[in-house]
Amino acid sequence: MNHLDHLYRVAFYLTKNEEDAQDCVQETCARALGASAQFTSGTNLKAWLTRILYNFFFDAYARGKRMIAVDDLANTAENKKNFWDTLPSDHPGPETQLLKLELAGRISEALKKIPEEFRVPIVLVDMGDFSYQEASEILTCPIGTVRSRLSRGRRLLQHLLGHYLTKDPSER
Amino acid sequence: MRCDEAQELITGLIDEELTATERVAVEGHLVECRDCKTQFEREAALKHDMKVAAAAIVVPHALRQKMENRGSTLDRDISPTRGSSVRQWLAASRWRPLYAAAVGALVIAAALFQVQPKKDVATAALPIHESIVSGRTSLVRVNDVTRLRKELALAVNDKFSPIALDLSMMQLYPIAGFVQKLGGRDVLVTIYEGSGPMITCFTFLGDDSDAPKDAESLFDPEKKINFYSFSRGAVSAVMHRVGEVNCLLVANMPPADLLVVARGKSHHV
Repeated sequence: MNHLDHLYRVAFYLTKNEEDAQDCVQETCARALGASAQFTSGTNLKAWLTRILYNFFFDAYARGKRMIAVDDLANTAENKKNFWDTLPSDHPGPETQLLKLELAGRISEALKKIPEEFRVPIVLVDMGDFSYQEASEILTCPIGTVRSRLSRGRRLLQHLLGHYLTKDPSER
Repeated sequence: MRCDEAQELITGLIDEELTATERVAVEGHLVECRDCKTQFEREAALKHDMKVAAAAIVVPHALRQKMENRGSTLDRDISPTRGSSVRQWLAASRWRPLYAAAVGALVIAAALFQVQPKKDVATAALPIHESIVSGRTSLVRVNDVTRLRKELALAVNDKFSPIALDLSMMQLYPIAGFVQKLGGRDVLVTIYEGSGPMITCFTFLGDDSDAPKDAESLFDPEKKINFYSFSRGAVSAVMHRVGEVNCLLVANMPPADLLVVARGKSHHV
């Protein structure tokens, strides 16, 4: 089930809203079912599923076949409520939980504001734990491009998050 | 090196995706340049925070339930995406539950098929260590460590190399190695022996999901690495990832002590 969470996470940050993310995951699974014969046992299933998801996203969303949420839509109260509903509630302490919720919320909002070409490598490498090689295969671009987009994307995020991330990580 | 040249290398350094030459160059620059050092720390902190934020995003309960609980209603006649008409049929709302059940069954089965063997590697390594320590596994000792590493890498067609640890401060040195098949994967085993407790290092292709579920996770903010610590009886293990390779240290010592060793020696030599 780890892959299900991973797929949803990637879809959520790609599509920027819960409903489209769920559609994306279901379509990905359907495509995987249809193409299961193409999967080589022992190879990276997570990367294979993510490639299918990204291709679907690119075909169906990025090319504008469907309306996709942008900042204003993603920031509506209803969507925010749905987003918070997706967060796990069994973390140990209320203070820790609050900090994590705040952090997740801030990063999520900042990610929605940066261009897709920078957002996707961040989602794959930082949130999906993919290597540059795997990300380059999913995105069908050179490894150097992954690195440069990551670098620029992270700086954009730092700019958007302002002072929030300037603390020494060991202090948090 | 100019600061603008260092920016992408800082990103690569944080992600442990640099060549040895690039790494030396950028680390040298960071020693000299306070601004870039600050940028490195901020970017590393951001990456850590992103991981925390990502962990908070999980599949909505309703969707998970759909995929998990309705697997028994799977209609074997469903033939996925062969054309637009089929896709429209699948997209029809009344078929969505059935559709979700079908794809859910696939994901669960595929994930179990793929993940289950991976989970075996970390825990399966412990008995191997015990067998080595007890002498049940015969070792062919070598003097040439470089050759040992080279031959182990060759044994897996140079897909990866054994993690080389410098444990000389503990007066432990690599004395033997071999390739072991665990959970369907090739695992390079290197034995460190000396005046302290023997440490066995298992190197294999994988990711953080190879850590057992009961492992305690610790993020090292300095090295930007997650360490996973677990034990079975008197045997402790600590796993961390270096790029696509997992390094699992196993020893008969308290978990906290082994964690200190792993954190202190978590980089390739």
